[in-house]
Amino acid sequence: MSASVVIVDDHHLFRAGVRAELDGLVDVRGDAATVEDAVRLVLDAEPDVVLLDVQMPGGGGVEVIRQVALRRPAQRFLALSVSDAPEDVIAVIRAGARGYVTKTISGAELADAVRRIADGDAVFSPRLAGFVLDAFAGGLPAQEVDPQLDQLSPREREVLRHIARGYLYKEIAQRLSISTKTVEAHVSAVLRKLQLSNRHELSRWAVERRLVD
Amino acid sequence: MARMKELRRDPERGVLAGVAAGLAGRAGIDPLIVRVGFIAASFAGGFGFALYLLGWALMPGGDGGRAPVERIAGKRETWLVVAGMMLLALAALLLLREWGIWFSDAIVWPVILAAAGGALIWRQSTASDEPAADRPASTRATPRTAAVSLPRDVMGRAFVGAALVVGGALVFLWLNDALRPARDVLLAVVVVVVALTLILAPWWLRLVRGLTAERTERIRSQERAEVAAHLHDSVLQTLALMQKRVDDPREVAALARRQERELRAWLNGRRAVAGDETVALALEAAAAEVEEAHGVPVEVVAVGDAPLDERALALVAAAREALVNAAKFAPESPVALYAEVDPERIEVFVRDRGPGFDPAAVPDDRRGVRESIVGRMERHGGRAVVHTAPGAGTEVELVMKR
Amino acid sequence: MRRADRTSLVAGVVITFAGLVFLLDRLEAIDVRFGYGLPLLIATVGAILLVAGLDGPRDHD
Repeated sequence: MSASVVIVDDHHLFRAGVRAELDGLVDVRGDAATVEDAVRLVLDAEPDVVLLDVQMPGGGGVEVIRQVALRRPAQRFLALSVSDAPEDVIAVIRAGARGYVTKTISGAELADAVRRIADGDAVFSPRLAGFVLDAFAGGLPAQEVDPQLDQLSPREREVLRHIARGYLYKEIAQRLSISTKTVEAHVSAVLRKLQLSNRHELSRWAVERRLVD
Repeated sequence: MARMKELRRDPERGVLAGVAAGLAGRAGIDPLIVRVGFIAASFAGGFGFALYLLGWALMPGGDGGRAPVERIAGKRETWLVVAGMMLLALAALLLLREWGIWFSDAIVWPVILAAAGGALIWRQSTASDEPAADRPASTRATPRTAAVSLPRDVMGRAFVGAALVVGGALVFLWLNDALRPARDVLLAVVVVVVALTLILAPWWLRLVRGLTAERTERIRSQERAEVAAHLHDSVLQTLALMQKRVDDPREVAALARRQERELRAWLNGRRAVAGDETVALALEAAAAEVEEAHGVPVEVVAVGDAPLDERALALVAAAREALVNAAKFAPESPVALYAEVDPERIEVFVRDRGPGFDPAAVPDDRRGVRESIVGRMERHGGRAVVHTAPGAGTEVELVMKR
Repeated sequence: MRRADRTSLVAGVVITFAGLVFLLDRLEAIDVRFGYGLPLLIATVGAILLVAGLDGPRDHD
């Protein structure tokens, strides 16, 4: 049973290209080019996963997630973008996307990512893993934060580093002598921390990044 | 440029501060005449000297500076300086008056007032976009927020200038006892002046706002021209090249990646990655070089950063060699470089998904290359390990203590 | 020399000088006409204001 997907992107050529690549690998239920059309389409078609461009006029992918969450909170999103700016990436994950890939990804890998999200896992590109490691890197003063939520456990950090180095989940499982399911659980935990963690620390990091860049 | 018309000092061709040279340049006469005029006016009443001072203070210098009075940031300081200078000039004038080098009270004071007022007004009406040019370079990325002097500023200064001129005229009349018979007419005059002000104020405001809008528009079109020039230089060229090489997909992909990298760097406000400031930048530059030379995509993920020192340079060189190896011996697979910088050490992992090899059965030429990576790292107090197996790709792990 | 100190230094020197002049006038050692005294006073204040303005702000580059 293949996963069902809806494609949201304001770039017409890109939408057509992705449709063609995913044809046969997943069930494409439609595509939309604006925030309003996207929300309507998602609520109608009820796909497993929504492929979402981060930068769109009218509020971008973040706005789509916000509006859909009002009516269909269980909807899963996979963010897709040319941007590799940390602010964009982190913003869309914190809004609720469960994964982030860049547009140069191949069709087969994209289909695989869609399937993993449909199964409830998180998809991290090596770059996103790098950003997350960076964001959680600073030592936080112990009193201010909830250590469970605002820091990565050593295991999670190790898994993220392997993702950043370009390893696939099953390769990571092999290297760390754990099961693939455990790897996926760690990644999901990181995602949850990213979404729930102390807003102050992460936004300060984003601001610093902007200054450095 | 439109700024030529403005009144500027000319420090290069001037004797003291270029006030005379600047005035002469604007009026189209020999600076010597202007200088003689200043000197004569100084001897015959002292206000040549004062006018010169005023000129120095209010006229911007050279080809792109602000008036000395304005070069100081912050309004409070500006006014302090202005007040200080005015008082000093006043003291000098009083001294001259004491020494008898004077026209007469009735003439000098009104003329000074009027001249100061006139200078202020004139300066305002030819105000250029100097405040924008003086913005520090760090705000270059958001030129849209470049400062445009507020209408209120402009109006305030012009108003003070006008008041000074009017004040000068009144003082002149008063000192020359010409006001008494005019007292009857004074009320009428005041009423007329107030009425004129009320009538002309909206027009004045509109004029000022128009200037502001024109300036923002000019800034915007300058930006647009810059973007267009850049796009023309790089992106259009690349697209044209790509159309010609359409039969070689690897070449097309390489061109696209190179242009993408360059456009991203430009959008982020940097010029082409220089690669000589920090570890992350140096690694990215090395990756770009290898990618172009061998046509294999290299993806760089960097966490943390540090300035380049001798050990870091050795690490970057070893990483570059590892990248070249990966590109040469695993040409079909993309190469991933991950770098992590923390306070104690720098770690770099270069990974490919190529055929891998059996470490024991390494041919001589390749062994030498590996030595250069391992050897280089160890010479600088670091460590290099190569993890590989047939069919499992290769990963080179480089660790350098800081 | 640090910024704030320069202003204080100049202010001190200038006020001291003016004070000396007026003191000498008091002591009848020299005679300071009003026509000289007023400019001196104004120049003192002016100089202090000027240096204060030039040294006031932090580096602005």
